[in-house]
Amino acid sequence: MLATFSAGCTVVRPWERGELANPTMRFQMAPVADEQEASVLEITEGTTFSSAGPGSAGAGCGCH
Amino acid sequence: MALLVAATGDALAQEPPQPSPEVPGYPLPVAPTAPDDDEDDEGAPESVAPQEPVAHPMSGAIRTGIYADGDQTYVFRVLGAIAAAFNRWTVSGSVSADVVSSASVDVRSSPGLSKVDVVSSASGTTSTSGGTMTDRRFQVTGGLGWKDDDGHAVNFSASFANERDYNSVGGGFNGSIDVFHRMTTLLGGIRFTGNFIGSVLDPTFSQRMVDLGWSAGVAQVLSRKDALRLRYDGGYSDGYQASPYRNVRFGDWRFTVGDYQHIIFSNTIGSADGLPETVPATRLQHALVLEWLHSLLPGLGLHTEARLGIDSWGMKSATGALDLRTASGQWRVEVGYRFYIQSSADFYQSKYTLAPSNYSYFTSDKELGRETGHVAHLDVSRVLLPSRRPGGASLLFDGRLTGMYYTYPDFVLLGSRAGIFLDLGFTWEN
Repeated sequence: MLATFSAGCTVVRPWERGELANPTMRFQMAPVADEQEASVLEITEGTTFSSAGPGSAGAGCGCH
Repeated sequence: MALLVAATGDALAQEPPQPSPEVPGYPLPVAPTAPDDDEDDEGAPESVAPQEPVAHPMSGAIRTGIYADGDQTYVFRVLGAIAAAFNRWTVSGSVSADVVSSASVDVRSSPGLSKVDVVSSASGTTSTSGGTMTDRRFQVTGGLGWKDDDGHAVNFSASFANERDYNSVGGGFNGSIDVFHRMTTLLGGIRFTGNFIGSVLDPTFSQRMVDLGWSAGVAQVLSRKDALRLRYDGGYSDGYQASPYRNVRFGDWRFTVGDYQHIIFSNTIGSADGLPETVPATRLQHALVLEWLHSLLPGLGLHTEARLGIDSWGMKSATGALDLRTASGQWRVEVGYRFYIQSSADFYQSKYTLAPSNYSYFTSDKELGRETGHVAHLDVSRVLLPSRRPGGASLLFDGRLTGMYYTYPDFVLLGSRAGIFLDLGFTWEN
């Protein structure tokens, strides 16, 4: 998988990463708000769970 | 009762350069960072003058959230979080509280919860009255992280949450390593959660359930404008996974809405109260998540995500999401849309038309039936007080409005549900 990922990728030097360093190029630009929203979705959707695993969003009996 | 659950806010510590400190238990590395030093700097432009480092950078956040939906459920949340760095170490913690009020179909169809003026639990503060249930939830988290200047990072986390009828305690760790000229980040993590389930209606009710979650993946810089992340998430749950409040009626039943919106069933096989739902004790879940970041212009980015899920209960799901972001001056804005669809669990039925003895498992959890969701959000952040010197304090406002609409084609009592979630907060850091 690593080979696949790396194949064909030109090495991007540190001084060429200006656009990559922009806040818009984070996987989570607003991480706290993302986590808050994710906690709602995890309880609302039957198969959604975070990378931390099921139950990591908290407990509750799912009464709602 | 936890419709909303605190996610540790120590992600607030994150700002460039990447990768940033991770939320404990959430192995979500960002794109690989630029190396601070290395052998490949030939041709590099002159570096800027070094800035005086802050001795012990700190950050904090306070947030409040309000959730409301068409199923008569309302949640109010407050959250506070703080993080401090000491050389290569970061210590973080958060506290949150939720207050929930609900007259959802689950509450109004529950034989116990729908009764008027039921007051239970030792303190008597969890109650149902007129078919409405109220409850509260507290959660505390703590984290300890370490990272060096060569792209190695590890985080440990612990959490505890308390409700009247539910306690959980968890812990985990995750780590990441940058390789291949820091073009690639390898990541992984594991987390354990123990859950202790009770019932506000029955002090003798006591069940347990354990969750184990794991994650592994790779993030890759593809070009000056593109980055990709591929992640596998897994989970295994063992124990009581039903709700002590949800009952299943049998036969070709009908329903009417009575006083206090209490849902009354008729034409049932056996009691109109039905039987408590029962689901398998174990559940194994897998999900594959692919994310792509693309810079359309400097300061204008596109984030896309696709997720496929499958589990041992026969459920399959697909998710697609698209976020458009801009960062300019003191402002950051993101608009996003997310689509979700799932199939039903093998044992889920709209109506269990035969006698209970014909079924190994039966549930009235609408989220185990077919479900489709549309979620959209608008996120606006603004720097209110910019740092005036290196290491100086800054203050940031962040607000997000999320709208969601879900349909449940197999659930007789509720065909659809619309909701909104407003989340507002301030973050400071130095």
